[in-house]
Amino acid sequence: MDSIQTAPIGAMNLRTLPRRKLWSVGPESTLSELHASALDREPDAWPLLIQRLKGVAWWALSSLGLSTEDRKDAFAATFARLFERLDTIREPEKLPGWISLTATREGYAISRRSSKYVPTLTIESRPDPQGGNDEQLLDDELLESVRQAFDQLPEECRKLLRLLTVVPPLSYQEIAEILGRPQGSLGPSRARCLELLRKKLAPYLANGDA
Amino acid sequence: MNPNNSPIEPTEMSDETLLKLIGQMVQCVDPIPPDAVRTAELFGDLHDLDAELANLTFDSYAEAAAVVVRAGADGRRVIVCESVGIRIDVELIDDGDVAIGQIDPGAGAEVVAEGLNSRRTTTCDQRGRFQMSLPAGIVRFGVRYGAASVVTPWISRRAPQADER
Repeated sequence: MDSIQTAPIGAMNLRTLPRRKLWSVGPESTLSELHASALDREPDAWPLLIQRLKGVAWWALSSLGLSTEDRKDAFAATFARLFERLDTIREPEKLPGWISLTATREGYAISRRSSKYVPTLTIESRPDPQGGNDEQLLDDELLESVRQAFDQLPEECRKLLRLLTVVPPLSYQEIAEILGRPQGSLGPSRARCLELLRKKLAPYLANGDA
Repeated sequence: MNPNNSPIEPTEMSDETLLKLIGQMVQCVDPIPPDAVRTAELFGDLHDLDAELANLTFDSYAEAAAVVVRAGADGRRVIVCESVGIRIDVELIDDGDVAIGQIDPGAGAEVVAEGLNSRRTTTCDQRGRFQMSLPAGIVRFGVRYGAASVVTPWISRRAPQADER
């Protein structure tokens, strides 16, 4: 970042603080701390920033009908953009919203270039559901039922429910910013969507275990 | 949650249980590919490389303001950048493995194609033309001509046809 001579005023103020002496970063650090440390080139800060934001970026790219390869390119381009713009970010606590917007833009840019565009919003259903199932509480059948029921939900519900389960979890304020909705509307929407999911799920579970 | 495999009534599931199920389902069906995360992490490693690039190759960075990417009828891609009076025309051929281009003005200009893991450099001929093979993954081009230097934004170099499945 030394090569950039004209940093915005906000960023310059941040830089004059002796942050490195005050804290070292870890998974519990706030976005502001991670951002400031990344600017200071602390080696741990950038990977931690990615860990914090990768779920949002992947989520934002889930609904654009991209192939997995294109989605990975857009994901990389999103973080390239973040890296390039690190010192112009004035409100690091709003990074989840920024990442979501940037990922969407990058995703659209890539989908424009690759001629195909599949206008669906279902989760890419890949036939190999192995993955890191950290908890073995759930059998595959139940997860498959959930997937099928989930796929029947309206787009709005799928987006919201997925966003609510992004790892690490986002705050309601962050989710409201990402979706461009009032924070107060999220609770009722969540309840409505989950109720809908219960209804869709019922037939699967009734048949499945009988 | 359901340790005995007894029938579950969805009506009995709490919101938290349902969300947990959704979270696990999404992680199974649509996990974030570890290599995508690794690629993103590489930008941090590039940090020093960037500085090196700035010191050794470029005196200053001017991010090209406008990039136009067109896909030709035959699927070839053309990238046009213009900044600080330098125009960069690059065409990606061979599925994005090779770039041919022209810098205007750019007789003898130095061109760097920077990938995530490696860089390739070349020098333009007297008419500002160049041809080079590209590093893997996304790339950006840096051009130095006289006292001026320009770097393009990161570009996905993959050809459109490669996406059709």
